[in-house]
Amino acid sequence: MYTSIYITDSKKNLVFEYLLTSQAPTFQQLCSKIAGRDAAMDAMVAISKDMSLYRQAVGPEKLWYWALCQACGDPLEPQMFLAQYHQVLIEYFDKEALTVKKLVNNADRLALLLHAMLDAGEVAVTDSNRLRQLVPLRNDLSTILNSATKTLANTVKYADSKQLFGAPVATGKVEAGQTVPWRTADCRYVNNEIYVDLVETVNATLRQKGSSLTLINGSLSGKIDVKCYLSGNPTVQLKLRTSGHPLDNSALHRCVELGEAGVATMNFVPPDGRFTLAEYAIDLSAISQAARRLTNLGLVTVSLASGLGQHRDEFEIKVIIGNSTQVAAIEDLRITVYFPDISDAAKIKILRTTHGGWESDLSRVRGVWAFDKQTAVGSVPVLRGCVENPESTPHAPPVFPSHLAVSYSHVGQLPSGIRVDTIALSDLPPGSKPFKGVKYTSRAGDYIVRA
Amino acid sequence: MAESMQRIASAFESARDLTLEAAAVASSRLGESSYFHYSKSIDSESLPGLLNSRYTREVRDGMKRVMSLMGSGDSSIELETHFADIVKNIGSDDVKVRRMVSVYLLRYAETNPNLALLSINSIQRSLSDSNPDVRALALKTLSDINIASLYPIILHSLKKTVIDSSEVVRCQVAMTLLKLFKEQGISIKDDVMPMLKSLLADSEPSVVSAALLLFQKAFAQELQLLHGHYRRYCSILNQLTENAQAIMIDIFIAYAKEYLPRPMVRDTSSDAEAIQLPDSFNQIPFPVYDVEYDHDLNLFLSSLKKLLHSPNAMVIVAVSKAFYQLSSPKTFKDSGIVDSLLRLTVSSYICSEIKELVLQSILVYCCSDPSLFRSHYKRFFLMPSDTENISIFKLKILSILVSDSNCKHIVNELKFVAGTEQSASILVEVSNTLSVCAQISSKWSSQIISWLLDRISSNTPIDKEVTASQINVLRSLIQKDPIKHIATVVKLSKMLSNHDLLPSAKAPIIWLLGEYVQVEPRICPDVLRRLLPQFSKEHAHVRLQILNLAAKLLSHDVDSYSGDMEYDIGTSRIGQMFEAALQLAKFDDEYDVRDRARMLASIFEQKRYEIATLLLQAPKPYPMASLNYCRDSFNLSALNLYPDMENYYELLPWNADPQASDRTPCEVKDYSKLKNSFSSSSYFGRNEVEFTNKPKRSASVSSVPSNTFTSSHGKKYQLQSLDEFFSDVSARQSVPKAKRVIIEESTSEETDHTDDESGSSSGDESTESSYVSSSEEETTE
Repeated sequence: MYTSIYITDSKKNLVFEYLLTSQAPTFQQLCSKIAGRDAAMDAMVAISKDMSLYRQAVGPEKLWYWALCQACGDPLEPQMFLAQYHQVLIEYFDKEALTVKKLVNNADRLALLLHAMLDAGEVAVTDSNRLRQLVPLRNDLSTILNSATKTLANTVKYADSKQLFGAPVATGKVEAGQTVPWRTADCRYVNNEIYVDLVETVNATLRQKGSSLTLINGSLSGKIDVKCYLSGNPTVQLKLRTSGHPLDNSALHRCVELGEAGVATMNFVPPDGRFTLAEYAIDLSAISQAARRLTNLGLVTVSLASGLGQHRDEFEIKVIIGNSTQVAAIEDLRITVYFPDISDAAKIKILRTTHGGWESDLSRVRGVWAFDKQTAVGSVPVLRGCVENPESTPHAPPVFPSHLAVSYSHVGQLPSGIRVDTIALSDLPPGSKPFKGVKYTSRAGDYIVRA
Repeated sequence: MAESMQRIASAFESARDLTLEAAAVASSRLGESSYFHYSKSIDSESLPGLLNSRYTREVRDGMKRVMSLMGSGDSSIELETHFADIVKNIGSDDVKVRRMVSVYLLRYAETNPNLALLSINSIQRSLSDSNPDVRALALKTLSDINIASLYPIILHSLKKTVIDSSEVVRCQVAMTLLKLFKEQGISIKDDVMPMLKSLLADSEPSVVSAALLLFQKAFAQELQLLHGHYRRYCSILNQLTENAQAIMIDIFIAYAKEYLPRPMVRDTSSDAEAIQLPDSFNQIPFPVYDVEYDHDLNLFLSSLKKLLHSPNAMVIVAVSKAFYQLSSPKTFKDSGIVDSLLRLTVSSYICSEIKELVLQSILVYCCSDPSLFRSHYKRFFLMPSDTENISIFKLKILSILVSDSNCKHIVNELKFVAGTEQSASILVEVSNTLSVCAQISSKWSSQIISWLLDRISSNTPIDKEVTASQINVLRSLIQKDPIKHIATVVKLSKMLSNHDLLPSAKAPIIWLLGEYVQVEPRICPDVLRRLLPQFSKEHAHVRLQILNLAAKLLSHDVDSYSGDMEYDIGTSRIGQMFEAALQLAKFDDEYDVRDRARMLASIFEQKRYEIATLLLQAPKPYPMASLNYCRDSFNLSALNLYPDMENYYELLPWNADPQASDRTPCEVKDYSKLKNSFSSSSYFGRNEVEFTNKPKRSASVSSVPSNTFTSSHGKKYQLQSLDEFFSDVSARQSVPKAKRVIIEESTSEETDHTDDESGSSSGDESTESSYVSSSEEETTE
């Protein structure tokens, strides 16, 4: 049973609070109660015998969601609710990420959403389309101005203000025309658009064995996000080319009906707006051929050679960026090089780099090889360096990096090779010419190469 | 674009001669930030003016200010003082304003009950609004005003609304009943029960979801209510809301254990009699077996498989718990739930707090049966982005999964982590896991011992706590085979003086040396000699162990003394050292140390050397590594889970003698004929086709007469309550009824189309045909 919900930034400055009863403590009161405890850094803090405070840190901007609630049967419920609330806010405001400013400006909406989501101290509604019906979102002028560039001609043609706003028009009757519980009834758009975003994150640990790399452990974590702005109640058929990955254990949005072909063909009546259609994980170590394991790592492979040069004390990092017609450039490539403990007098010396620059770090155990914003595909950047021993001990054994962490992102293709084959729309109002967009984004998450 | 917008905004802001309303309209149109600045300027004086305004826009601005004051924890304006101004807007035409007043009432009604009661009339009026959302909101607001004298009124309104035509309102009835129950407790059970029964029998999955929540929170013991719904719920499980899915699984676990016959386990390698499924998950005595489930239980378990694709971690864990509680490891493995759990742990898009809880669940399953996850051990290798808690639980799981075949990989991985990880608590857990690996075989044991010695003695500035844990692991490993590891013990004894160790590391080394007195007596006297001068500076545990070491040494010396004279403590060197230790200990601060000193002193003074030998030189059993949990007796407390996780995994006992119970589906209350619109049947019609098809695929389910509880098309017209309802409605209010009839007729065409559609939508051409029918619709309109 929830007593109160809070949102703070990572320094515990209150952004928003919602108290469900008159006895519920404000965040200030709560803070003074947990102030003395180190355990406040934990995800769960017991406040009293049957009250616990749950915390969840979300997103790169590190918003902290807090829920004060009585212990209930399911230990996952409070955390799950906080995650759902965050997801609802993202979908409701149709943003990639939330800022503190956005939340402060919309305190009334945050409260109304929670008012609809929680009832009797329990979770009642979590579906974002239903919530948007209960708390209609009034698009302000900025939204029109933003979309104006694209659709100026169209917008002027339709003088009707409802169509001008390009937003679904909430009618008084809720159930009129509602075919599925997750879709807002009577959506009307001037431009019918559907965008499919496929995102994959590479998590892999590799080891350099001689000149070749072997995979210790790795997985691709994929997600299919859809932004859907279609009129009426259309049915979407999404066909994927899965490149031999089974995708059996995918998580699917409840709207998806699987065809005979499994996840490769998904039929669904989409919710309105932004939602996550599917999530999947591909276990790379389960792929039987060693060669295929490595091709599924994506465009960027990094190798580390040590014991080179005249004194056998140099190391060389070579980044091999594969060539691809679909990818223009690799973005934000960064390679963090970790060294074992080196003595204070020793110095990391970079002898030669073909791309980017070296940034050393005060911690002495790592340095970063940072590239420009964009690195061309098909190039092979190389960095050579050594750890110089201090003059007092010139004959100490040479020190080499222990491991590298790689991070990058690029658009255009996925490491697994999965692609969208077709998006077929049916049941659209006649005469509408829908726009379909597909985008592929790859990122490196925990990508480690060990010596 | 942004710049030009700012310019416009500033232009508006500088237009001071505009009236307040015009400015508000203009700037609020421009964007949230400028609206926020305008809103911030509303102070305690101007707020009542806005709230009492005739213009909805001004009222809304006023209410938004109230909301943002409540949300920001800002106490610059006392909101209690504006109670009347705010609450009078409960009758506003704008639903959003009403909602905001409702949010305000939720928090402040109790502070001013008399004024809050004034709003009741307008709330009750909106209970008969034509918009179901408004009716639901009225019900919610009414019950949120937490005043005891209101309960009879609420109960009365509920009795009317429980047969409302809209499922939104019926959901709200369930939630309101829950609120009443939380306040009134069991005293209103007689009033709630008939309504709960009617809600449980509802045909709408969303109403069933809310009813299940009410059931779980209020009447979780009354499982007999579910007899008639059991099979229908199994078939609509995937249409419930996600939270309700988890709740239903929880309820049905209890139900199955209470009312369904226990599954039987049959040994497939022999013809022995089948036995009942053991209470504990891992206690099946056969290597190969088949489990026979009751067909109702099988229905539930196979309906769970539909949820394996759920994106919700709570549902996945609930499903796994159901298999854990109700079935055997074999069924658990075959169900595919292992993959779903693993998908959650490797996902990059799930927050770490949830991952941690999923890992705790996996840890529980691993403890019961390590073979479930053994082939996936690599998924539990640490990743750099893992939080400390996640890493610790992964290491615990690894320590259970370790076996002869994967030991090499795991040890290599652990060594790498030990070399790169910074966090002390993770490193401590790494040493614990290593100690489990060392028990796999003597080859690993000696390799790990030498690696640990290397780590400790190479002067890395790692945490002392980590060193202590490594020494403890080392000690437990050495103890297993003392003679082989004399060199290691010597190294350890040197560390006592060379290294700055924590007491928790020092005390075990001294204790270990004491145990070595019999094996290699030459090391100890010198160690003791060096320890004695430091005695007073040591920690209490260390002091106690020094005293013990002295006593053990003396006892051994007495036993091995072979002279003719009686052993004289006063003259032997070891005796003198013991005396010195005794002297120091007698004046110790610590009660324990003084007590031990007195005991040892009296034993040696009275020359009871045999007792001393028995006490001090008894061989100690070899300790099992602390992480090798619960092979026989299943004890979750050793796992260090969160407390509510422990409660969650408490095993329910099977009912030894389940009552005979009739699970024939009972009548379903279908309100869809009362609705304004029929089009939702196109969705559910489609699903019904799917449901009646699905059971045919699996032989076990097909025995259930599925169409009796899935298709309710034919039954709709036979429902008695339908007529009752209409007569009730017409008696109460005539205008809304007329409205209903009109809309009903206008939409009836649509229904025909959609019915056709659901009939033909079995093949591939379904999309095409529905496209045609929708265009027809267009022309007829």
